[in-house]
Amino acid sequence: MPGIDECLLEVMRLPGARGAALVDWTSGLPLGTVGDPPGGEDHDTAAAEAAELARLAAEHGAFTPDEGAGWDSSEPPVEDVIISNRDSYHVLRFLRATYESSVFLHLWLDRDEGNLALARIRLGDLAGRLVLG
Amino acid sequence: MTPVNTPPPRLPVRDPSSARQRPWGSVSPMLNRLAAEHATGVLVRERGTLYLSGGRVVHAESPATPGIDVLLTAGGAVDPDGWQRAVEGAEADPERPVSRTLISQGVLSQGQLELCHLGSLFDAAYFALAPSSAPGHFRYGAWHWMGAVRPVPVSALERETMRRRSLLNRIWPDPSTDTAPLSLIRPARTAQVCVRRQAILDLVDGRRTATDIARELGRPAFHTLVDLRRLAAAGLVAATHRPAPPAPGATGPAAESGAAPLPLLPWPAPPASLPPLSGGGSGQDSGSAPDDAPGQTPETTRSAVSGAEARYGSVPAQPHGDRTSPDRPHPGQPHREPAQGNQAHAGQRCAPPPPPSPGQSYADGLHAGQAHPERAPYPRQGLAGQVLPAPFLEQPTARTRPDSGPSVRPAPLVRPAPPVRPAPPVRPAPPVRPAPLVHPAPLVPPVQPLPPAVPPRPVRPPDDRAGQPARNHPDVDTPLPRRPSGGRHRAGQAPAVTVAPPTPAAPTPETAPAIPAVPAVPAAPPVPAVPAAPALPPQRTPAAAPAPMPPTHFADPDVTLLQRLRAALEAL
Repeated sequence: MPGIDECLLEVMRLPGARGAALVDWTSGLPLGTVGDPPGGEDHDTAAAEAAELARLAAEHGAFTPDEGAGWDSSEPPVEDVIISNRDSYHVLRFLRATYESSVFLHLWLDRDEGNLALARIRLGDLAGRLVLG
Repeated sequence: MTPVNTPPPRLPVRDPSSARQRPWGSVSPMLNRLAAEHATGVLVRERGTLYLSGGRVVHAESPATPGIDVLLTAGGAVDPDGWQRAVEGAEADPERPVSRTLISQGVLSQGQLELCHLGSLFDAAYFALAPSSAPGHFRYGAWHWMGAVRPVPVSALERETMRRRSLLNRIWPDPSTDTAPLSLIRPARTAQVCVRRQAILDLVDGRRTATDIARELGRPAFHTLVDLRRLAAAGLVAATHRPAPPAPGATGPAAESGAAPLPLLPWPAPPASLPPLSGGGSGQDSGSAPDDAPGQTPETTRSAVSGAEARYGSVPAQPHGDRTSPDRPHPGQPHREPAQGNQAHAGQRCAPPPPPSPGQSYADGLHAGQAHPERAPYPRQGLAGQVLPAPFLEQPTARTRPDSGPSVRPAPLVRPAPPVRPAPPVRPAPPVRPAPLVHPAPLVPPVQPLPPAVPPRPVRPPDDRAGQPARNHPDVDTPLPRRPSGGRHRAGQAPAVTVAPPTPAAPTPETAPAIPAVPAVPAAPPVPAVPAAPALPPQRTPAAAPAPMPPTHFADPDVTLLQRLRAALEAL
C-alpha cells in the first residue's frame, strides 16, 4: 500500500462513498482528504468536528474493552465509530501505528448506495495496510 | 527658533489591510513572500526552522518538540541505529534522503512515514511559527536530509497554526502550561483520566516542561500541550512557579510583608504573545512574527541561527555553540539542552507572563469573580496595548519572585485563591496627582491653615461607607491612601492605589506634602460625637513621611479608637 493519497482513493472506490479523510484526532488536523466534505463546509471544519467525536470515543472509559480482551493500552481502545443519519453513514476507523499517533480514517457513505458492513470491513483492511504497508 | 513644519516620517508599520485580506491572517509575512516566489531553502526563525522546496514546506523542526527521529524511535517503529545510518547516508549523498532509505529498506511503509512526518511537520511548524521577537532569515538552496515526503502549502500550514492556537485557547486560555515546569495540584489517581493523559500525569514532577514530557513519551509536543491544557482545565496540573526565596509555607500576608521593600508593579499586559481568540481577525497581525522587525538583539538571532548554520558549517562556532546538532539528537536520547535553552530564551521574550502573585491585583480579580485568569483585569491596567521593551517585561519576574509562593497557581477556577489580605502594592510613588477636592470638608474645619503648596485634600462625605471604618485594619502600618475620585474605597481594590513606600524613598518635593494628607480618606464616621483626633501619635506616622504631619482635621476612626484605648489603658 502506498501513501495517504492512494489509501484515500482506495476508500473512495467503495460503493456509495462521498468523501473520506485521514484526521488526527488530538489536534483535528486533516492529514489527507478526498471527495466532498460532509456537512457542506470545508474539509477542515469537518475534520475538526469528527476529531472531537473520535477523541471522546477514544478517551472515555465506557468504550474501553474489558480486561483480558487482548487490548493493549498503547492502541486506541476503540476500533471504529459508526454514525447513521437519514441519508448517510459515517465510519471512523482508528489506525494503530507503531508509534504514538492519534489518526483515524473517516468515511462518509451514502446510505442508499453504500453498504455499511462492507465499508467497515474494507476500512479496517485499508487502515491496517496503510500503517503496516 | 525656527519652527519646523515638516511632518515626521511615517513609521514603518506593517499594513494591516493586507493581513485582513487573507482569511487566516498572517503568521509570517516572510514565509508568504517565500511561498510566492517558490523559494527553496530553510527559513530559520527564533523558535524553529522551516524547510521549503519550491515554495512548499517539506520539513519543520523546533527545539520545543521532539523531532521525527524521536517520534519514530521512541515507539520502536525504527531502530535507532538504523536511523542513524540512514541519516549518515543521506548526509553523504543528497540523492538518498532518509525518507527514501527507510522505505526502500522496508523499515517503514510509505503511509506510516507520511502520517508520522506530516504530524511532525505541523507540530514543529506550530512552534516555529510562534510569535517571535527576532527576525527570521532565509537561506536559499538549503535542504534537509529527510527529503520531501509530502510537501505542504504555506497557506495550509499557516491556517493550521492559527487553528491550533485557537484550539489551545478554547480548551484552557492560560498558556503557562505550555512552557513552564509542571507540577501536580492534586493526586492524579483521584481523577478519572484517560490512558494517554495518565501517561503525562505520571511524568509531571515539578521540573519537567511540556517539551520534556513530549520527548520522553515520544509524542508530538502539540499533542502534549493539548492534553496538558485539558489537565489544567480539570485542575490537575499547573505550571510550577519558580521557587520562592521565603519559606514555602509562607502565607500571603507574610510573603507580602517580606516583599514590602520590593516595588511591585501590576503585571503588564502580555503584549503580542497571546494566541488570538479566533482564526481570523485583526489581532493576529499583532501576534504575527516580526520577520523583519527592527530592534532585535544579535544574540537572539544568533541563537536561532545556530541550529541551521551549524549544520551547514558556513558560520564559525557561536556562543551557543553547544548546539552543534540541535535538531538531530541521537535517536532515543533526549536532547534536552537546546530545548531548554531555547525555551528559557523564548520564555523571556515570547511567553506570556505567569499570573501575578496573590498580593497583586490578580487576587483582586479573582475575588471579583473573574472567570478566566487571562481575563482578569490585572494585565489591562494602564499598560494595555503597549508594546513593552524586553527589559521591562523581564523586570517583574525578579520583583514578584519573593512573593510568588507555592499557593499561586494559574487555574483559579478550580480552587479559589486563599483569603489574601489585599496589601497595598508598593512601588515608588509616581508624582501624585493633586487630588481633586471632592468635598470641602464641611464637617471638620481645618485646625491649621494649609500651606499654600499643599493640594486640596480629599475628604469623603460622611455617608460614604461610613459603617465600614474597620476595613482600614489597625495593623496596617502604612495607611492606605484612597483614590479620592472613585466612589469605591474598599480596601480590596488597592491595586490601582499608589502608596508611598515606608522606606525613605525620597519623594518628590511636590508629593512630599501631599502624602501625609492622603490618609485623610478613611471614612469619617457619621457619629458626630466622635471628636476630631488631636494629632496623630508619632508611632502612627509613616516612617518615610518626610514632611511634618499636619494636624489632622478629620476624624480617623482608628486613630480615635487608638487614642481612646490608650487613654483608657493609661487611666488603668
